[in-house]
Amino acid sequence: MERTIHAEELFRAHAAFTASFLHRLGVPERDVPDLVQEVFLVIHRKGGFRPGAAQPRTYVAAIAFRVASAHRRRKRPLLDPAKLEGGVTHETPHTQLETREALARVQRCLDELDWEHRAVFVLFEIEGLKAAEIAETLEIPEGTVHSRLHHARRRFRAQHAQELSHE
Amino acid sequence: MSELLPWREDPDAPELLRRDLQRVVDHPLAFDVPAGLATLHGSIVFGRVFRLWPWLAFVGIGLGLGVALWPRPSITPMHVDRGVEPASATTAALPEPSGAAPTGPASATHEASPTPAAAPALPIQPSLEPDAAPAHVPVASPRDGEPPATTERVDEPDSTRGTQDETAHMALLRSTAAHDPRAALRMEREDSRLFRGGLFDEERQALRVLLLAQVGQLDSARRLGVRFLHAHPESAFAPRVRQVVTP
Repeated sequence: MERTIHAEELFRAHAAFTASFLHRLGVPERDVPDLVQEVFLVIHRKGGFRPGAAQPRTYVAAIAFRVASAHRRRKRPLLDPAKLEGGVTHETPHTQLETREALARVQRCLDELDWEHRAVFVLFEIEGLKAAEIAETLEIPEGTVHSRLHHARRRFRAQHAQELSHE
Repeated sequence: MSELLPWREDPDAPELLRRDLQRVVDHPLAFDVPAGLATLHGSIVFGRVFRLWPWLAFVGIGLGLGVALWPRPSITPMHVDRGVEPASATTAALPEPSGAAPTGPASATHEASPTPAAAPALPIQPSLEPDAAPAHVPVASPRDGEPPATTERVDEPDSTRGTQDETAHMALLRSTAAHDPRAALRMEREDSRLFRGGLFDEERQALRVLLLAQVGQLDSARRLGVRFLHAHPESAFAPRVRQVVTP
């Protein structure tokens, strides 16, 4: 029988993923560290992760999604896409500018998606989770994942094209 | 639908869309994992202390009340003959009877005396062993014609008073630890100096480990924690200290 993975161990492995996921879900950057703490404190209070059918990352993502949902309900200020920051800075100024613009563009497109569609889109297109993992994370049928992803993609694509046409 | 590819990997997806999404993937949000881990660790430890606080306070108050209400030894000077067998408190408090004509209460309460009615007239020796009484105060000898013998005045022992002080300090330390770990750490150092080897020495040592972890001095906390676990492997506080020591 596999041992329980404690919150601190999970934090080492998945904190960066959680931070990124929360940010892409629309959590302002200044709130991300607090919410990451909240996610792993929830995990700690649940006694850590007990290996089973779910993967640790899926488990963390599920809790992060719930924490982000609660955060959203608290009506915190929305993310300002102009203040987006990436983790890498050793690029030329021109590339940095391009990257910054791309990040802001994507974030604006994400902001146009419904909350449920956004979560599916971020997990699939950015975080690289499989449809089955997303279904487990969001506790929805796999068919619903596909359906939401389809709608999210359509909306995202249209919004992206619109963004590019404005530039 | 396992064949479904993310757009970034799908050559049929628009080039700019793929590039933008790839940039997002390549530039995750900068996140300081070690700092976050230290914060999480502190929150977990603090949460444990905080959850235990009502119980610790309850036990502390109980101990304080227990010490405060414990029957104290009388400050009335007691006549204790050091030569008398101390096994019986009543007899230990009694002077030896004079050989010829025992008079008054002394003879009435001797262990061989069958006169129980006279016993209440004598002071009752408290539960302290005579040897434990620290104060030696010469008082008049009850024996006629003999030089004054050294007898003891049983006063409130320093250890009891020290325990009361230490209990009060400990209660204050626990309450401070719940909301101000830095101040509690200073108090703990002072208390450890004042009450070295005291009743709550072990708890203070454990608390110091937890407090150091709370204020972010994890190396010191772990070092002291290891030392504590080595000295008190079976301590009631060992599980919490072990959680600090174990990364």
